[in-house]
Amino acid sequence: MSAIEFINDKLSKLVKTIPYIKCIYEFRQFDNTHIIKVLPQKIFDSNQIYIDQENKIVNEFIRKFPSEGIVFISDRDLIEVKTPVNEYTGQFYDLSKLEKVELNDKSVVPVRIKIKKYDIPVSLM
Amino acid sequence: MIRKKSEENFNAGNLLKKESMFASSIHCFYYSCIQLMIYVLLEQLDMSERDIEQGPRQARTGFHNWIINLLSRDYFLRNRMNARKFRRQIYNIKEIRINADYKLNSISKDTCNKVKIKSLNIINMLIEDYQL
Repeated sequence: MSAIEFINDKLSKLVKTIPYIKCIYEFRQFDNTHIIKVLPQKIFDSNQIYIDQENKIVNEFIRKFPSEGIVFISDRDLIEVKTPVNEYTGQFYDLSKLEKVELNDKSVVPVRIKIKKYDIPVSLM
Repeated sequence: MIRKKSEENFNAGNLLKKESMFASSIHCFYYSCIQLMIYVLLEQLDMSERDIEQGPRQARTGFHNWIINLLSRDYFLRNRMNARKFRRQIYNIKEIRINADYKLNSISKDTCNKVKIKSLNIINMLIEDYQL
């Protein structure tokens, strides 16, 4: 398994385990480094399940591919992802963006979910 | 000696920043971190200068990825949270150092300030966690 295949496999599984995230992957041939941008920043910074998964992937990667570099970043980093190889979007990533916007008004989030649930036309049920 | 070189490079980074030579300043801040990382390998991981010279050749890799990976593995066993921060910060300044040294775009004062802060964070984390 190549480093790119390894990352493809791990990121596909990661967005299934944590469906509120999106990963944008870029490989820099210049310095043999794999860059993975994870959104949203809030989960990247403080979700312990995500952090544990990231640490696990990094440690396994270093063990398997010691000659290559890997780094996970988010919005506030200086590294820019310019030419992504692939994107991996979790099933509920859009919802995580909603929660971020509407954090100050907790009542809004359940209402949106409710609307989605009850908006289905009766004829389709 | 390599620790003194690291301190000198950090000071040189500050002087160059004051003179608005931001690209050269970033180069110095980055190498200040790399030299302190070499110091950790020598003093805390009991590696020899020869080990450090031959390591990347044996692993068939560039020196920078080699030393970052090697130190990350050890750091992770000491302090997981700081190991993650260390890795992220060193790759951030590595990226900007590549832009500063090899790319055509100019480097702003703001970017230079950010690199200085990240370099200082790396240096302080290494000093604290490796009791240098």
